[in-house]
Amino acid sequence: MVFSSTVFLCLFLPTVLGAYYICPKQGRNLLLLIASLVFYAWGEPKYVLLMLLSIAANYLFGILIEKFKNDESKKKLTLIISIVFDIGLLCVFKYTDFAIENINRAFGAGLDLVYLALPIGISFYTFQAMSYTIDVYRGKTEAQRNIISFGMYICLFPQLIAGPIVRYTDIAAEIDDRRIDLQGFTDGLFRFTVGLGKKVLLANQIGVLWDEALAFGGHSSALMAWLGAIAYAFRIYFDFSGYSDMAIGLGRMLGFSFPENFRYPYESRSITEFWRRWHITLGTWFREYLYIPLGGNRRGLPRQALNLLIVWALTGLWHGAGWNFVLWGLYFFVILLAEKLFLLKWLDKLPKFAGHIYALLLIVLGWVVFACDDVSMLLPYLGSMFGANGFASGQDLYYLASRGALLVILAVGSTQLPKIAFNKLQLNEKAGFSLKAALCLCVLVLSVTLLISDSYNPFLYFRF
Amino acid sequence: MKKFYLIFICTFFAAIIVPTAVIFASADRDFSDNENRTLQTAPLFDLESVLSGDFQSELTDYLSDQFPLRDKLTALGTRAKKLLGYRDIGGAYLGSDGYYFEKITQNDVNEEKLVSNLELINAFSKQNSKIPSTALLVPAAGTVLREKLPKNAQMYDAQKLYSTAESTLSAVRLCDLYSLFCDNSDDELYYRTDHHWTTCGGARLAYEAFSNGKGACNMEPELYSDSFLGTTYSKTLDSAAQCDSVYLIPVSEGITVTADGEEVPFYDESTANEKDKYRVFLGGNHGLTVIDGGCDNGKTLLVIKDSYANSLVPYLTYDYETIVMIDLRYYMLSPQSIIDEMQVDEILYVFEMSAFSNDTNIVKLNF
Repeated sequence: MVFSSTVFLCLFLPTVLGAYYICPKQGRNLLLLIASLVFYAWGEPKYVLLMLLSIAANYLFGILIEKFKNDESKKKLTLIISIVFDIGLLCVFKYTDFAIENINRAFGAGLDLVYLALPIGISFYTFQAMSYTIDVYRGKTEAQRNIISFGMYICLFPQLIAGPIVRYTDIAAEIDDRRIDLQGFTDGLFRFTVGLGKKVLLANQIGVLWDEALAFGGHSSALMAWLGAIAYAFRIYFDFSGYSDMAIGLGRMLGFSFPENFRYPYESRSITEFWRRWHITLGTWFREYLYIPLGGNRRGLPRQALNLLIVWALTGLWHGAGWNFVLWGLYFFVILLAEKLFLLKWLDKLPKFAGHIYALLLIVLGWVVFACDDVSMLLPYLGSMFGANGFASGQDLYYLASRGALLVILAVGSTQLPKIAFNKLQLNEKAGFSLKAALCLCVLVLSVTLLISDSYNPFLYFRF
Repeated sequence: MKKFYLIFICTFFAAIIVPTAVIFASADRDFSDNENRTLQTAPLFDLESVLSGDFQSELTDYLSDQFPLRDKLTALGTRAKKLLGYRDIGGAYLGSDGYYFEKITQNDVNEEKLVSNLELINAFSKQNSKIPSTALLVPAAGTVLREKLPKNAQMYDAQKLYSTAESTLSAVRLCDLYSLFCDNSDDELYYRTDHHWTTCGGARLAYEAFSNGKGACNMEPELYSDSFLGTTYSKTLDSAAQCDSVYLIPVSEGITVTADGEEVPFYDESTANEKDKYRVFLGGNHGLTVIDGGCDNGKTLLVIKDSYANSLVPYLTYDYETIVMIDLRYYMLSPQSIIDEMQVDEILYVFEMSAFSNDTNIVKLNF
């Protein structure tokens, strides 16, 4: 199920919220567990078994690791088994065909593909489960003895299929005891609606422009290619951050405080800054559970570079089983290393706008690498961006005119300007709230309107 | 503040729960005229359909298909998009003068398939080389009425496709409708709200081109309906749209039409109260349509076609006693055996070009 669907909005959300608040406190975790399993089973019922297996296994690993807390070698062995298990599941279901394809290509082995459908959200919940076992190992948290509470943490529906990646320690206390007041619920509802609007009113609307640009097969003019790439940059930002907003909002309505996942990433002035603002919980995960254990920056520059290389190759691969994703990760590795070595110092001396232009250019080019899952399309597309087929033509002007206002809204919407403008009004509490509530209801009505009228509603992050 | 919060929360949930309740409480709508498709009705709940996922997808479709005021909401969406400056909505260009054009760009044309389909009809005509054959390749409205398109809006290059057709069709006479239409583009060639050509405009010009001006039909068209809102309108549901008029060419009283073995009226006047009034012509598309008795000269014409032919055929009934129409999308038998059995005197191909370039059914000519 996705949030931006009539089933979720009209049936699932009111039913679950209603039941949740009627239910006495001690039953709420079980209720959320069941609701989350229904949510998960909606698209692919059989993969609920995989989810249950993952819950049961990691539950046991956690308890065992804690049990062996005075026996370093057994404790370590259990952790290693748990990591092999989690990564193993992820690899089997996500990367098997990719591996077979590459073996076939390299050795002409002619093996058959297995065509396993990717279980929704497996990349997210596997990482959440690993954060738990590793933190139990590190003694940062106690093992969860209640399997219902643990199961609810692993498959909690708000962040189940597209993040944010909530580490166990982020919400450990709230799993057992959480309270919610009217204001918190209202804030959550606001946040959810903002995310819904970002997804339905913005991301879905601009998405087609990238498809149109790509349809030229690398034979478009430069302006069209850039319009397409910029459209993709907006689509993925509003899609993904909208999803995180909805997740965080839903979390608040249920009494959880999930970590923020995006902080206006397109306002960045360097790629280093961009990755502190984009998909923050993924970056945090890789830093906590891979980069720092590898030695981080504490073992000299060559080792640090190697660590970064490993982290970014895997970050790329995490996003999808394809060489374009690996390439995309390595692309950022090179840029980040260069920034660390000398570029950041140079950028600091330049005026602010130069930093913005530098970062946005590299981000947009990065998205082209990311979006071309047919790698053979990549060079022709980049070529057309740099004028291989001329710079502008009639159709570009058409799209500029027809979608220009939308692009301006997207550009403004990806900055803090709307928030600043709202604060400038200096409304008192009641007037401010009323304005926000009215806007929020408009967004809801428009979103439902467009959900009904557009069949165009795929979630980009479904493949992760 | 507490009161403010509660009012907001209640309004929010009322806005989603009330329509949902209406969906389940009211009778289901079976068919959407505007979308020309059947709608999802309440799905049945059983374990098997849940495990296969059918129930879930049917319930999803059910909620959006049966959502109250569905068409009004779509129209509202169109209004919002127009406000934002959109010049195309749902795959239709918003043209000037009340025109809605199908948006079909060069990227939507499959040039390889176009050539192979042209080769297929050329080969079919070659293997029947004693029978004269003609192709009417219809350019989409937007390629002809360019000045009515939004500024800089792209359509496919009809000129280029015609050049391809000319060089490929050695055994078929090709009427250059594109140039003809461009020269007569003031003549209401196409409906404003539908992708088809009009009886008095495009279809008549095509008839004159096909018969070299020697056709026997000189009937005056009669008004059938002045409340036609067609498919390109339906893509937008734009409330500003103006209705089209549909005209009919009177045909001989004794004419009979057999569509896939059943007798049907030549003009299906039950469509007067329906949305898709273009279906008045022969009641829409059928696999095999046999029209008899329009005149009595004993001549037989085979038309291999898409829906554009339906409003052209009334003219042709004055020149051919028997007209056999084959729509390869629905006809599964051998076209060649029709030629052999029915003593066909002439063959006519009628297709809109971009659809023809994507048509996977032309290969059935070889059946």
